[in-house]
Amino acid sequence: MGARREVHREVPWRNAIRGWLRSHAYGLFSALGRIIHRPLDQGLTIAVLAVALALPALGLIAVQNGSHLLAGAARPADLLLFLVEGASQELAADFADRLRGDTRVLAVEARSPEQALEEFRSLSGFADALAVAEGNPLPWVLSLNLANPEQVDAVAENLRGQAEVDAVIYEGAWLTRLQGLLALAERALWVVGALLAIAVLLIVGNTVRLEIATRLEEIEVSKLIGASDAFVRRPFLYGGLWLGLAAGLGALALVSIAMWLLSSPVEVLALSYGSSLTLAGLSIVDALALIACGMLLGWGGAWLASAQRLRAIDPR
Amino acid sequence: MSAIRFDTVAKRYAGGQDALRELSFSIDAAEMVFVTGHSGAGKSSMLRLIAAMDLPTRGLVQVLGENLGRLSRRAIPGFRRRLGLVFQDHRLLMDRSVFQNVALPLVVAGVPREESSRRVRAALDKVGLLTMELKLPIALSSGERQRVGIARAIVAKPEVLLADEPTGNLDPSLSAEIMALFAAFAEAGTTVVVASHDLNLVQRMQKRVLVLDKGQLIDDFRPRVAGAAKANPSNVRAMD
Repeated sequence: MGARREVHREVPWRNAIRGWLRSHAYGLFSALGRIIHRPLDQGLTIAVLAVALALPALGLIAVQNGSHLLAGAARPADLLLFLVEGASQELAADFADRLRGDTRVLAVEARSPEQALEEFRSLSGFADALAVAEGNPLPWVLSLNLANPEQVDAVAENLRGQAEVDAVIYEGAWLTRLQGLLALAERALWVVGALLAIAVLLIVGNTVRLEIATRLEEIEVSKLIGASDAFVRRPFLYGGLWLGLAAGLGALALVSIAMWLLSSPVEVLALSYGSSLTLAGLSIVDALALIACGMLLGWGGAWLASAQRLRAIDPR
Repeated sequence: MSAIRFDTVAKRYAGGQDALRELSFSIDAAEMVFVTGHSGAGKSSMLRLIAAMDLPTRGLVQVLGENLGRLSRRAIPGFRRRLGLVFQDHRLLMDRSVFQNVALPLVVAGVPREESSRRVRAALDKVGLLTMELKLPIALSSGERQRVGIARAIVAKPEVLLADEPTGNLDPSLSAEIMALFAAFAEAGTTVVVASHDLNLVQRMQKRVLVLDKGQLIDDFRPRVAGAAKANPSNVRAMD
């Protein structure tokens, strides 16, 4: 008897869940059917959405590769000091030692005129020019790395006054500037990404709004035969979700094509710098995040367009 | 207990015209009732109130035990699933097959596919359109479309069936057939309310008739066979 009552209690509960799942499945697949039945209209919308999603993704790839490149690059000296002409080895060594005693200085490397000449020769094109020059025109060079690159101006000013120093050259500034630019690009990417996300919301919202207008009769009839607001809304929300999914996949395809087009020129360029840089694409996690973003925006756009609108449709 | 009860119901639309005034009547469960009157007499307004498509301005509308004036928005879909609606313009979805149109109430109610198919075929069989299930409504005659609309209204086994001019576009023999179908539902326990101005048809069916004029109930009678009807001159006048 007890077991039987249990069954009776369970069945309506299960039926309710099944009915709920069925109506979700109906919403999911009827929405997919709608998209498949109008491949041209929906295909164009999806293409626009895919481009809107691909742009920030490509920007992200550019920034990621840029940071990767900068992180991998050996840190150049922050300052180069050219010592006065004719400075002896002792003077250079003493001066280097003195600098090492300065807490602001992290490392000092001294290069003799001979070493510099050798290096210079090995660089293409200069060997002939040097052969013409009398003797060795190059000075002693000390390259400095600072404990805090921000202090570079103060230290440079300080060193310029020293008798041993002929010239002070900023060497590492380009890296700092490039890093600053990269940080700016990353920030700009977020802004552009946010704007494009809004564009996706609006495009999906507009598509769903038009869809509602063309399916007004169906919505009204459904409501007249007992469809709830949620039931009527579901196909539109799932429609947005499908659009977002298709757009996300389309964006991935666009990114892959772009990567394929860019990878060989980048390799050639890298090779000319003696590096073997290969362009890193989106990771699996990034790719999934891109698709998830598409789906979320699609759903959100559909919700924005349909929530109030569908409630307001009262069958007449 | 009555399936439908109106108690001094008035309906005034936003434009200011009074569609119904002081309307009171009661319809029993499993009863079949015709509502008749000139166009603009309030037949459609009355059906709209029963289907919870409008709220009464004054008075009580009680359908299947629910006070519709107090029915919350969330409760309306559940209430509507207990009704079957037949529209004069059938309101079929033209881009869906006959089968899909008839299945719509079952989809809305979350009925499993197999059971749904069985019930759709049973409903189509009842209206004689079993062979048409894959056609689109556009390929059907207006009489066939109307019957698809009726199949959709009955497929979920409603407790109340409301029909607004269901035979408006049909020839007399088809009209009689459809009315016989409605009578059979009433026999089977469904409360049936049919708004119609086809007086000959209404007369022949010999069911209870509510006559509306300018939003008021002016007669409530059951026509008898031709000889008996003559005995009550007021009825005859109302039917003219």
